[in-house]
Amino acid sequence: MVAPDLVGRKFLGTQTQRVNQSVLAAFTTSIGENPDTQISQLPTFPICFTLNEAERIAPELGLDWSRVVHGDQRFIHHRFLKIDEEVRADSEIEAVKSMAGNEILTLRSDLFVGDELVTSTWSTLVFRGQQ
Amino acid sequence: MSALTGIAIGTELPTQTFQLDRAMLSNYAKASGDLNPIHLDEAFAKNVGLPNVIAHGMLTMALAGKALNTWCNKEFKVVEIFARFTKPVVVEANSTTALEVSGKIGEITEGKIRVDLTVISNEQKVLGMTRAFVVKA
Repeated sequence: MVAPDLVGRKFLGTQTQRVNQSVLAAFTTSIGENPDTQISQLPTFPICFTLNEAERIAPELGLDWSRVVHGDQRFIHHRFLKIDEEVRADSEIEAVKSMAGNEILTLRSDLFVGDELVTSTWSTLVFRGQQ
Repeated sequence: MSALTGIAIGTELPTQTFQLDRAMLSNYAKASGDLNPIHLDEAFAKNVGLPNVIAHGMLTMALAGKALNTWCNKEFKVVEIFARFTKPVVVEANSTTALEVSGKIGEITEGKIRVDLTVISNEQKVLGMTRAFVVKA
């Protein structure tokens, strides 16, 4: 059971991740896009930098990452990441609810390059209860 | 020319079909860092009550993004995208699963175009409320 008072809890990114060419190439290739596709043409690419943050946070909340199902996802791009930038994800729990034995968490992760907010993401994660 | 040139509310964008297979799931898992075995390991997936291995919701969404990219044709860019993962996309071994992405113009305001997407696999909508906002690149 996730405590409702977790709403508003923040998890500041502890380290940056480099947006390197190999991360981009692996993503582009995996979805069958042209090799010369730019980050600005890949609206869901920043998931490569936010998902691992969510995975890192889950155990701190007493949640079992192996039981997670993705409910929904939003990206808002203020601009697009660039190759060789160092990106940091700051996250906040925006909502928590329990439904039919599942814990449903809305996690916002903002991707920053230095002080500049580049992309905001929202993930609704459903942690399935043991049945 | 971009499919978004000269559109109006209600304009339908050409449907695009993508093929998913196990290799794609494996490559997407490595690329995104989502190594959840429900996308990779048939025995594991069945053990947790799924019919078979399922595609990452984010892979399905990435393919919706790919369809948008084709419609945009570098003349427009996606500044916002949302999807709800409503039905799993099952990917059997040694076969492909088709994913059909179609789009319709929902709204045009101050240069921002809302594209409403319909994403179908096996005759079922697999994403819900899928919307993107695009602007001139």
